[in-house]
Amino acid sequence: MLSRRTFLRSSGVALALPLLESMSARSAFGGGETAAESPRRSVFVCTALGFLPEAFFPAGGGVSSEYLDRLARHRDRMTLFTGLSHPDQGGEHATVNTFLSAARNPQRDGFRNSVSVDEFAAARLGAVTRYPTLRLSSLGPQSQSYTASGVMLPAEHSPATLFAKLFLAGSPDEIRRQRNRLAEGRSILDGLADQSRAMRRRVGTTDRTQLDQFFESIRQAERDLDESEVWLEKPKPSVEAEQPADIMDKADLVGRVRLMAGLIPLILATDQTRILTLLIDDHNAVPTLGGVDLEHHNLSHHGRDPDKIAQLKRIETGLIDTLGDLLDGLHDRPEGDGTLLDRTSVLVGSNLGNANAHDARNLPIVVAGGGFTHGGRVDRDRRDNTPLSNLYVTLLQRMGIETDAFATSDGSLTW
Amino acid sequence: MSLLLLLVALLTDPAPNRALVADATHERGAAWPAELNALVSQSCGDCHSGPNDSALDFESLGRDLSDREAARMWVSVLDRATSGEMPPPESDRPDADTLAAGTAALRSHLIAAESARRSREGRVPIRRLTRREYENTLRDRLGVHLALAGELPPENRAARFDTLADSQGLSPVHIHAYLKAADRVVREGICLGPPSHMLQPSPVDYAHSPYIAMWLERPLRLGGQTIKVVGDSLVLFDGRPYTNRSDALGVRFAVAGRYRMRIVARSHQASTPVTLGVNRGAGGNGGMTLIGAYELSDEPRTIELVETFRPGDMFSLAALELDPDARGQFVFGAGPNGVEAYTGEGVQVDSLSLQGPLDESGEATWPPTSTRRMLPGVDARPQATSWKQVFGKPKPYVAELTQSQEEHVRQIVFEVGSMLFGRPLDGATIDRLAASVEFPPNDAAPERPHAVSEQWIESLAGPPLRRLLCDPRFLFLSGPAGPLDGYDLAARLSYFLRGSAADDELLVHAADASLTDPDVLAAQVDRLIDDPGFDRFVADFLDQWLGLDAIDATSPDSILYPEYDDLLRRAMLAETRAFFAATIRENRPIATLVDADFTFANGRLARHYGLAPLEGEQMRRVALPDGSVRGGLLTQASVLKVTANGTVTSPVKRGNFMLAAILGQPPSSPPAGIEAIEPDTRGATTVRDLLAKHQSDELCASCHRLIDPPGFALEAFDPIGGFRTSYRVSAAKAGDQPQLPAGVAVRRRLYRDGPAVDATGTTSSGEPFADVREYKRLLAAESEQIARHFVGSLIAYGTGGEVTLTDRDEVERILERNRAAGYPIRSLLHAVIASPIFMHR
Repeated sequence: MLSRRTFLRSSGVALALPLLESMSARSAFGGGETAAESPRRSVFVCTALGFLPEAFFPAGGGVSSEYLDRLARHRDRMTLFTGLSHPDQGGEHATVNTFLSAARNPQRDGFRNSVSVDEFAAARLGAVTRYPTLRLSSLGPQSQSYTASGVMLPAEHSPATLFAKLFLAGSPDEIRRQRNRLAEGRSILDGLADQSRAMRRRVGTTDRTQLDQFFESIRQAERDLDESEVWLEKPKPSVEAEQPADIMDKADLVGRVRLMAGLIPLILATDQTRILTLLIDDHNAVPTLGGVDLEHHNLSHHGRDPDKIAQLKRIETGLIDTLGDLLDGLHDRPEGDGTLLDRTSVLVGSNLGNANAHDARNLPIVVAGGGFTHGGRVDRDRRDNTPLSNLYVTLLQRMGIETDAFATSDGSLTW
Repeated sequence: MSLLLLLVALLTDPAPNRALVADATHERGAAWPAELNALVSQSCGDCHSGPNDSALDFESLGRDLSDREAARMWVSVLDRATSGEMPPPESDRPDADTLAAGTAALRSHLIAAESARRSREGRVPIRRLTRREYENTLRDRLGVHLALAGELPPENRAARFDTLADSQGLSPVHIHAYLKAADRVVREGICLGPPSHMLQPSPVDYAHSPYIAMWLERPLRLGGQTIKVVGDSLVLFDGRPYTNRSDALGVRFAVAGRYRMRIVARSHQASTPVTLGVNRGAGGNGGMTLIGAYELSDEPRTIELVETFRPGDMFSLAALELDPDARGQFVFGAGPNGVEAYTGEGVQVDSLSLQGPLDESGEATWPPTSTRRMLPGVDARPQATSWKQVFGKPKPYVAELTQSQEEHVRQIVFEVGSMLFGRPLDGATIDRLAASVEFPPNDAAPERPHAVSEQWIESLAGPPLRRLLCDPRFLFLSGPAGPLDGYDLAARLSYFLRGSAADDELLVHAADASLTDPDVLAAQVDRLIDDPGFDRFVADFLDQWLGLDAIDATSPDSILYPEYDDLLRRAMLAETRAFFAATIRENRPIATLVDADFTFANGRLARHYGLAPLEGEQMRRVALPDGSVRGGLLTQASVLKVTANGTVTSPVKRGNFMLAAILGQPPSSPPAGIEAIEPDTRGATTVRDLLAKHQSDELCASCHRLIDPPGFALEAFDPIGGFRTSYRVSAAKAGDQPQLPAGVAVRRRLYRDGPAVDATGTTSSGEPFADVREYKRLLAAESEQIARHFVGSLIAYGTGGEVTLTDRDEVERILERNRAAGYPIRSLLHAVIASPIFMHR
């Protein structure tokens, strides 16, 4: 397998040119931006099993803690937040579904999610890039991205597949077949739209939520196919990096996260998308790390057992280090007068504040890059938390999205 | 918002009596009842007018009852006021007349509004097939055995049932997935070409495989020396899958379908029974599922299992439940002479053969069932002799056209469409789909049967088939308001009890509308309950009702609970399914669900439960001894596992489960701002110590006097459902790394007994119980409420709509008719299906 270092280095070399190309070619759907200003991006990273609070948060004031010290080289490029959470979450693992949406009461029967911040942003940015957003996960199609009607949008979990989708040109034969598929898909959708209209007449009701959703979904799917066709004609950016080989072993949690996160700088630098999410999910496995012999989820319920806490820290420092690598990858790429990281807000956090207590308040949250003032910490009340959505509003505004509210926000968060 | 928080708000905020402004702008239809306004302004407005700490604000609450959210809130107002929960007892109670008049007016107003809506729209909105229903339908009706559910977006995990129309979502992601799934169904379901080489039983030659030889030669540190070959037999000494994975041995499945696996196996060097496990791995993602487990003695045993395999699938055999050799060593400790000199227990596989794909009657067949079902009217035969035969390859199959191309397409569209839609396809649709295909100008029936290739027939039949597979008449259950017609009733009934489209027998009764005749319907319900397809209802309903689909969401600590493994997990689920199916089929009283004198077990589960020893892996009925703590769903290991947090149990979680799932009376969420308890397994405190303040704090106690008692009773069971009198606590020291090979009996105890379990308590109505047995008897006395919730759950799952205010009288009638017999479960199921709720859209 190609080593990550080689992979990142080689891809770095190839970047300058394709970036310019893709930016000038971006106008397929009328992105009105000029090439002079490099685009603003956002990355949202969530680890579903939390971080051990006493290792993540500084014991007193300041910004030094066992975990944050591992990111010390980026200290003046990041900010720690305390006292943030989404209101009305309960404490179950269902909060993994609402980390990006802030929908209330995810554990209740009949819960329906609401739009996630990445989809909210993508809808407002428009189709300026080949992919309005990309959703990545370390395991399986589970993502934290939801449509306004509460449907989960699947995540890409194979770095090899993702790389091929973004950077490998199909053969002429593949492109022809793809085009045929699009054509037939469109004609099926035409027939479908007719059918659902006929069905609406047969049903003859005013409450046709599901059918209306179906109809609207068909229309959107048609627009997707149209866009796919336009992009089918455009060459993909050529990068010198090689396609990474997937890690099949789901127990290699850290390796899989590192491989997937390693693609993020390349994806952003070639402007394939401007909004990325990465979910580090529960792998239901014993991570292959020295000194760890229990499952990650199990260790997160450590019950204050010192041996389990020691094992949990091994896993979490492994994850923190991969996130450090991600920041390295973004910081190492010059863009304009600064670096790619300067133009990219990276939020790293978890939906659980204390996994052992299943507590979804006082979430561990760090924001790096994005051109914000960094180096310190922003404290909010630990007993009466500030909505995390306030921070989302700030991040949305940083992307140039004109909004003063998202989900449960009651303002923005400035510092 | 809990009742007590409201009360606190009331006591600390003596707001002036804000009269509610009658808001005429919300009004629609029938006049808003004056009696209700009187009640609200007299007794509710103080706390619930304008922004307040509760979810209820009468000023902003809409009065347009066609708004479903507003209607739901008004129903909640009615329920709280009727039960006396609101206004709180400490406040000024309304006088009896005002209360009675106000609630009666609200009730009739709500029912009138809902009835009006129902006569226009029906009781439940259109719903889409769930992804399991989609997969089941294509398997049952078209013989397509692909893993299609995984291709469709996941269902809303927060919904009580995935069939509930109001909780289902639909998005462009679904549309793209339907297109992609349709493509796969046609591409992989139509399968001619070279036939499966497994039409005759084909042996897997373990003894002479180079892959097996590699593991024989490798040293232990490189993963070898856990298997050996004796004569023509393979002997396994370990449970790991890699040494004999079928894909590495060259086994390929030609098409997704059912295959018969015949194994002859016995124990090896064993003094006690050992277990042969069969695992299936799907498509290279590394996950393996145990699909069979068989107990072996030293007599050869012939095992036959019929399972679905797909191209890319593999299987592997595992040796499970082995005892070590005389020195206490497993194969990893075999010593310098390796596996050849090892004398511990193993599993000996004398032969294994595969046959398939199988048709409905279990015969190996080609082309596969899916091809015949998707190309009705088109025959298939081996290609005429060609040069290919010279090289000994099997002759590929070709399709034979005997009619004009258009006639073939019309027949295909009609038959496949009718199966998918569950009603005869109309002529207009046939015309439209036939028009999507280009036929040659002089399209006539050939004089002799005309042979065409798989690709050719796919290009002819593919486009209309893909359109049928994306048609809303297949993907949705819908119809006009009012009584269901025969076909819609057949569909609802079949998706309810079999998770799949109606079969031919139901369609016959749908066609002549005899299905709506009560006797015919009852006979069909009995047929479906006794049919093996009912197992799907049992598994799916239990998965969602009791949350058993989350059995793998957490894994217990392998040090504290070393006895938990795949065999036990499998037995746990099998017990609950067999028990639930038996209570229905035998028409047992509803109280059996919580307190029974029998259960189902196999050897492994009997050991886990400490029952009299049983031999073998088959689940069978077991009479429980007097005084057993088992019997009933709540004390089954599957339920106890899904209601634990992996390694620790929580009386709160189990108590909540009991109230919500069994009684249908879920408690309110805890008020915001309280600290969650942090479990501690070091042994100093028990969870009961941590919960002590629930009793002392009045705010907590208001809900926890309901939640905690059942949770306390169930503390007698550990997270994997074992009975306990003390908590296990970790004895391992930091740095200690126990190695326990998978599937090997445990010799070391790495935990010690900690604090004693206290499973006593007092129910909210003041009745004390000394242990879980006494608690279950108290619970069984609540059979009316258990039956009410069970009937409501059946209605919700079966119709796609929750029980509403308007349905309640009918539910009470069902209960009333079955009260004398103790609410027998099969009768309840019959009554639900025969009710107007089920028989109407």
